[in-house]
Amino acid sequence: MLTDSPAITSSSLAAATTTTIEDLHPDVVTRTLRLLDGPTLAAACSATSQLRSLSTQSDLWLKLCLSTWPSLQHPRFLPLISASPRYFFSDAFRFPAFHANNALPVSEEAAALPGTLISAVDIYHRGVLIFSRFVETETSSSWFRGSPFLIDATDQMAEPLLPGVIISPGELMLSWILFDPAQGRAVNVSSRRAVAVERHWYTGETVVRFAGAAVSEGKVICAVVTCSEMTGQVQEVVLTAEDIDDVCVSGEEGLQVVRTVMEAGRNKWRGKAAEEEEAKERYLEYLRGKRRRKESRARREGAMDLCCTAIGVAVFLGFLALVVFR
Amino acid sequence: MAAVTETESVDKKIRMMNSSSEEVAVENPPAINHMPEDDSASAAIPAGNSLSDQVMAAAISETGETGEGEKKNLRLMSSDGKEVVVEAAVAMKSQLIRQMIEADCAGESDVINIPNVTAAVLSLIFRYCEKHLGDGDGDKAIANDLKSFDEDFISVDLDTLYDLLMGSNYLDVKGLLDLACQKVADLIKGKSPDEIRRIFNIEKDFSPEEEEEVNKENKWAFE
Repeated sequence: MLTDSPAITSSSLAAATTTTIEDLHPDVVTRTLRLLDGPTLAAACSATSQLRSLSTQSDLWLKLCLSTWPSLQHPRFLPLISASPRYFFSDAFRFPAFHANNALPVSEEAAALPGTLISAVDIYHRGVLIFSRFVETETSSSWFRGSPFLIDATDQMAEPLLPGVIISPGELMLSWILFDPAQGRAVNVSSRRAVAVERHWYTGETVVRFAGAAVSEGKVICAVVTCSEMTGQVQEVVLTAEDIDDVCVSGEEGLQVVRTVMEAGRNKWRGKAAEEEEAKERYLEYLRGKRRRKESRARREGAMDLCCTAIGVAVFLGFLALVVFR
Repeated sequence: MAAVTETESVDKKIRMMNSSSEEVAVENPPAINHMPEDDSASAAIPAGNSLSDQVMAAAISETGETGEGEKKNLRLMSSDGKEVVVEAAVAMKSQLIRQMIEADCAGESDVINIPNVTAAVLSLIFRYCEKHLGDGDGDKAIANDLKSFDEDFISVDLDTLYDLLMGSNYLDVKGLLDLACQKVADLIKGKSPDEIRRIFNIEKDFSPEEEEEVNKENKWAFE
């Protein structure tokens, strides 16, 4: 520590009396930086100019990206992010921003919808990586845009993911990064932790939803993992879109939601737990909104029915009266 | 313990190499006062140490100093002019010293110069090396014991931590370097830049334009 007292200075003559982190060899400092997580590395970057120059070494951030999301190790993906792994990390690590009135600002230029979407999916069970997939989806075809929005990550899955281990659906953590190579933007649309676990007794499946991060105009992008109760294994991992009125969401509408969420800001990082809590809250709010609309629609229809019945009864009574009192 | 095995095998070699000089062979075994004459133990020579064993044995037989004692000691001159004597086996945990010995840079009675590290830090580093001599034994109890030793060992003030970092980097003691780096990383995990600067006692040295740029790039990570 910096000290000017002569007693201490004289007692350690040969060695430097006041060593700071800046006296350390750059290799040693880099070795330390390599052990940090993303937010701490970004904070170190903002501390001093020496730390900044060491922290912005791109291989540091590239390693961080690859260790956080092992699915990025695909040879197709590496060249896309090696230009600026730090930017990619800050895009994909944070949760998308959420605006209370559910209307996210859309850029004036109205950029074209993504022609290709790259998905990087990683699933952890109790801290162990069990599923890592890299999927490239062609989204410019009219077939994709006309059909319901769906990206399947389990196309050629033949073997069980974790043979011998029964998957406990509530302890799954999922990360689904959507990357638009044309725009160079990425967004992680998963809530990381499950927001809903539904058991369907009739099919013997458990459906786990990871949603709430990407919400826009009454639609939410949702990653769904289906586990079989019999085998205890993961059967299906897909990305779908839900609408608040339970209307089917087409590929084109889904792409619009993706684009809006990608371009909207990102939340300031407040810690893993806080962000996951908020994503869950958002999804629950969405479900509540869904229920409210359903009830109000039911009420409206009920009132309509009542009206029609009343009119019908009135007409009948009138007819009766006409006949009786003719 | 690896130290025991090494020295035993060294002595066995001396007996083999100096079979003509009976008095040499006779003198050595009694000097091993707490190591049993055990063929099976010495047969288990650690593979990686055979070269250094031969070099050490050659050094001993060449200079003819047989009464050195059962363990070979190395003398190191620290940066503040103090001499540090340490067992060869312990010192060889430092790759730098090991390479110097293997390349025969330092003779038996020479003093190895360590110009960048003070005596206090050297003895700390060698205390770590001594505790970790048997690394890789695989015994769970020993591993837990080492872990708690490491935790206590690295709980030092920042200056000592820096000295350990620089010393273990210079002497190339990988285990200690990793431990010290992890400690520094743990110190700053989850902290904001102001707190990091406070912990390391460093000043912010950005120009206003740089600061604006840095904030724009990195503000997402902290409050």
